[in-house]
Amino acid sequence: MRTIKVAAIALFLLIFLLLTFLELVILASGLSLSMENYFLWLGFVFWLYLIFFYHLNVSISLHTALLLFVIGILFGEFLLRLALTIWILGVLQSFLSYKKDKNG
Amino acid sequence: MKKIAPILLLSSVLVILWFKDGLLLGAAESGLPFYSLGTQYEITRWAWAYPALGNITGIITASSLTYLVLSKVQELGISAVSIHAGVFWILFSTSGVFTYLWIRDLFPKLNYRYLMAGVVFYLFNPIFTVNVWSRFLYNFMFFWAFLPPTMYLLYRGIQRRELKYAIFSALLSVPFSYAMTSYAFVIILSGIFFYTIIFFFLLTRDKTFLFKYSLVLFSTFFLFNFWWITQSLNFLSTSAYSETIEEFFSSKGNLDILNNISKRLGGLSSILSFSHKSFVESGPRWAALYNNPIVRVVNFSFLMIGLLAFLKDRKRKKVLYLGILLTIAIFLMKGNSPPLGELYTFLFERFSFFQVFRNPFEKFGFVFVLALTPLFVVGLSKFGNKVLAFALFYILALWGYPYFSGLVFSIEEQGSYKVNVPSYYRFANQWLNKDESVFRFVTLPIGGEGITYSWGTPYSGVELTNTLLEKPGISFNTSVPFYHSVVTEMSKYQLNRDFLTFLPFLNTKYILLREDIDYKERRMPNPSDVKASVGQWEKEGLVTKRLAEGDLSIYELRPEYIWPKIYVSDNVLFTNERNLPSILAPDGFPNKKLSLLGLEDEQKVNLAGSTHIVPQVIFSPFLEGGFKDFSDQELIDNLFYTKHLPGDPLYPLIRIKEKLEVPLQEEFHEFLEYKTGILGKRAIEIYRLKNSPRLEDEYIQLLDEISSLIKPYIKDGNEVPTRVRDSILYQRELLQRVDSKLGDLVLDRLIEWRVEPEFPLPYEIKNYLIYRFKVESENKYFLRVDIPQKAIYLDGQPIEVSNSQPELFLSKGVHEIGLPVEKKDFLKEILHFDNEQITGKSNWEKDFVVPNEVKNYFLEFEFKYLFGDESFLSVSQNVDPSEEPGNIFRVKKDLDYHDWRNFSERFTSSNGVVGAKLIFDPVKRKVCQRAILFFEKCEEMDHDYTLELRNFVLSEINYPKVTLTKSQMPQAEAQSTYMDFVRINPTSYEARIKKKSNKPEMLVFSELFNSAWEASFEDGRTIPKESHLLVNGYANGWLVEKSGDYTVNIKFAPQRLFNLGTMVSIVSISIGIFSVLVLSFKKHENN
Repeated sequence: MRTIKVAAIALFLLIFLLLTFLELVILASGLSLSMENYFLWLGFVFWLYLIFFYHLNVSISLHTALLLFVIGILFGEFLLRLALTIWILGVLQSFLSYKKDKNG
Repeated sequence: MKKIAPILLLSSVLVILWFKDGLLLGAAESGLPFYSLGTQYEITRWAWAYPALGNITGIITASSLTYLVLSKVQELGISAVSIHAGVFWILFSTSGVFTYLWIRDLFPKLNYRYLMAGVVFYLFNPIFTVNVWSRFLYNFMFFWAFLPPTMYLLYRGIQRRELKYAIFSALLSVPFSYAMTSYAFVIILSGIFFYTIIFFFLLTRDKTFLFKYSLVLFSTFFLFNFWWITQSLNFLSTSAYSETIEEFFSSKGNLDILNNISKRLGGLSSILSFSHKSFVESGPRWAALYNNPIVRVVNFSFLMIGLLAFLKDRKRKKVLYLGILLTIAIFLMKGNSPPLGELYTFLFERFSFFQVFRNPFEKFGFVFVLALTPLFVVGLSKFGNKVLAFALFYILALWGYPYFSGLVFSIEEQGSYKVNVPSYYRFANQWLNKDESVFRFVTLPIGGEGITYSWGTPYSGVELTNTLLEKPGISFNTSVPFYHSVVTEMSKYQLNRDFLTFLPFLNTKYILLREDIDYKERRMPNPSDVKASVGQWEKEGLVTKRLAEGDLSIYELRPEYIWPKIYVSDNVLFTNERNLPSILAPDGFPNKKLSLLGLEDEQKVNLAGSTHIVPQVIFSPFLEGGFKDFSDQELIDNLFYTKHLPGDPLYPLIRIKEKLEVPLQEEFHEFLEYKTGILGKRAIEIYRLKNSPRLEDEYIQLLDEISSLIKPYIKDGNEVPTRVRDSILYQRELLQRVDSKLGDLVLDRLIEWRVEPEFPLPYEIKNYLIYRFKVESENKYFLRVDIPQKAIYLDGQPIEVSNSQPELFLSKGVHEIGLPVEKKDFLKEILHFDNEQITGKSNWEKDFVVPNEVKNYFLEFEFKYLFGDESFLSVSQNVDPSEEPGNIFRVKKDLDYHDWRNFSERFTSSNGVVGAKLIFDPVKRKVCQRAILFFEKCEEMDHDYTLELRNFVLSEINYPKVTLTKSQMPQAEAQSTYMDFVRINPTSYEARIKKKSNKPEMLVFSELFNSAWEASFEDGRTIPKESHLLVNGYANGWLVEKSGDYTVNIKFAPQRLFNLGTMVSIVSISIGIFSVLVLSFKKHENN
């Protein structure tokens, strides 16, 4: 299970690094960046999918987000945006897991 | 006490450093309230603020308590500077002490040094440096200081399960009520309250206490602050609110601002490194320090420390509480920037109250730092003493630098915020106060809201006359309904004696001439030019100089120009004209008082008067006879190339390409042309597919979008750009051939955009001027045209012109008068040359003289580039700031067409201009050269060009005047009514009337129109709302029909509610304090 999770996240990061590269190409060609939003929504849905179907735990979400924040501040806005989407989900997961623990 | 002593000491040091010169600080929209706190109290203590033409006070009443307390302190003889310093000390100390107490309550085990790191983190955070201190708005400062104690009390109450803290929290909002003068802060505060309650409600088993706690918190907050809450709610229900929204704000406008700000400031790399992008990149020089990559990385690492604390300790309820709040704040602070900014846009569009958050960075920045501070401290405590020492040093040295150096109160170009008001203002104030009559003064030169005074210590910020002088004066223009239109018209005549025409209607007695302004900085008329004009008026006996002190002079108007604030008149003029000089010169003005009513009032009131209708718009329509003779293919050839139709496998790709190629919205013409081009493609698709409802809907939607761009553009007198106009005309003809409904819809737009007349005109005549009138009542009107005409068309039909003033019977609705004209009839040539060659280095300039009033100009020439492809043509006026000409036009080579091109533009001169220059300048372009290896050195350089010009003509536009008039003279015994009045306070007046005749008259009350002004007779009978009218373009008027001797009381109704609200607040605050004492005593006894 753990291997699948790691593979899924690695794939996810790979896709987004690819998309970042694509973003740079789009930027360089002077075209509109409106496509970027679709990528972000895609990232959001993808991470939700990981949480629900692979029971991705809070720690992975938050650590990934932090990692992306750090890479993002050095390399670009797009990764920061991605990091924030994952961070938001991580925070939401934290709240739900706290609530579950309390009730449990 | 010992533990908070360093905070108090720090506050003291800062305040001493800032105020050691004994000067007040003043800038931005807050102005200089400490100069005269009594005046500020007098303005805010009533539901109606008296300065200028008066205005509803609304939520600003929240500041009245602060001003009351501070004005009392000033009355004790304490200097304004000491009070100012004292307030800053209190704000800094409160903020610091309660940040310390709050974090200590949250995390009691934390070492004292870490708590202190939290304190300085909050006090010197770069977000606050820009948003609070450099911004210099007092409500922002109060809110900044108010948040830590609120959080402390709120959390303490929930933690200890004691209701008294809910009352405490609400009580605290009273001394900090100044912070509530912004709707945004009230909403943020409520949001924090709601979030806190809901969070703990969801995660606590004992929900009863939280329910009670929230009930007490919200009810006491509401009651304690009842005095200003009533006024803010009241403002939303008066006419002023709806008129302000209608005239100056639109959801689309707000959304545009949000988009711009989100784009500029909402970048995560900026937010997460506490950086205000515009400020650090183009603000004062010292701010560039915070744009340094190393500084930004260190700043970012502070945020990471906070996020790490959340990651590690997220199972602690309070960490979870703060972490969620922080995440929400970051998400909101970036506005509608990605990621998921669509949610912000959704809220913004659906909930109109959310539109106060047009600048999310500025507003939610408070919550961001507030939530992060304790998390940062927790995170920091995990790193040990070395990191702590570094953090403390970094914060104090780097973040604290602008504070300790005082640079935080300075903007590069305008210098320091320190202000020393010249003594002649006190003298002028005393002189004006000696006159006890009810009057206004008007200040010249007059400009917009902002001003730059050239005092010893220059001031730049909101115009200060209403702070420096206690009598009401009109000294600037601002976006207040009616006020704005009156002052805008008046300001056009500052160098012209027609200026005086406006003054009787405004209850003006004096003109205040000031010479202490940096007029160029604010594009205002040159005081020397204005002084010369006023000197001329003095020679003509229209004004008399009464005082000359320092850079101020006061002139008194000739008595017949001084109309009382309240007067009765049976002399009525129904008009839609705001440009008074054009209609008021003769007819006994200003000896005989007059009231101006709107055209729509003519049928409402039973008053005999004249009517004067001016056109809503004047335009030259485009009459090429349509494109009826074009074949379908010819029409299609003139639109964007369209090969693939819907259903074609490649069509989706074409649509993606269309999306990707959209030019930037900032490039207005290109954007508009592109959108029109795409609209043309849709038109061809509709034409080819014949019946496609989906495409038609899409066409209508896109047409609406284009219309929303064009309407504001043509509002200023511009014509629809030629290419856009032609494309739409081709489209209309094409659509007409397959779908007449859609063709008609396009025609409606063309009429709206002033491309085509509403009533078709004969095509044989090529040039017309169309005057579009809106007639409110069916009647006979005289048509006056001020140039001789051979033919005149009314609604497309020729009319008899043998009579110099033909009489026309017009129904209610829109009518068009068409005049066949030549250009020379309305264009007066002021500059002309046949041929000239210009290069990038030729410093080409041409002077032209501007008459002493605002004029419209038309510039036309042909050009051809021999070298280069672009240059700027600017119109630099004598009042323009250096480097900021009044108008700049881009003269650009068409890449597809290299021969002579036509250039034509319109522009309007600014107020008070006497001379201007046309200047050709090269454009700047970035030029890069390879330096070492892959590195390039780039600099902005002039882009050279050689341009040939021919048939260059600059003309003044003077459209022939066309008006519709109707005269119904009042009967004899006019002005037989006698009246006088007393001003009781700014919200209450008493007028005593002796009316001999029983015919109706207008009672004019020269304060800004507001539906909440009420007039009633002494028996308490209120004059009906239907008789309350907008008079003289801004004032209140009531139709009085009653004869005999009687009194009319004029009151601003919300004052009653304000008095009641104040009583409720005083009583409830007393009960609140008593309850807290009782609860504390009980607790003490139980212990």
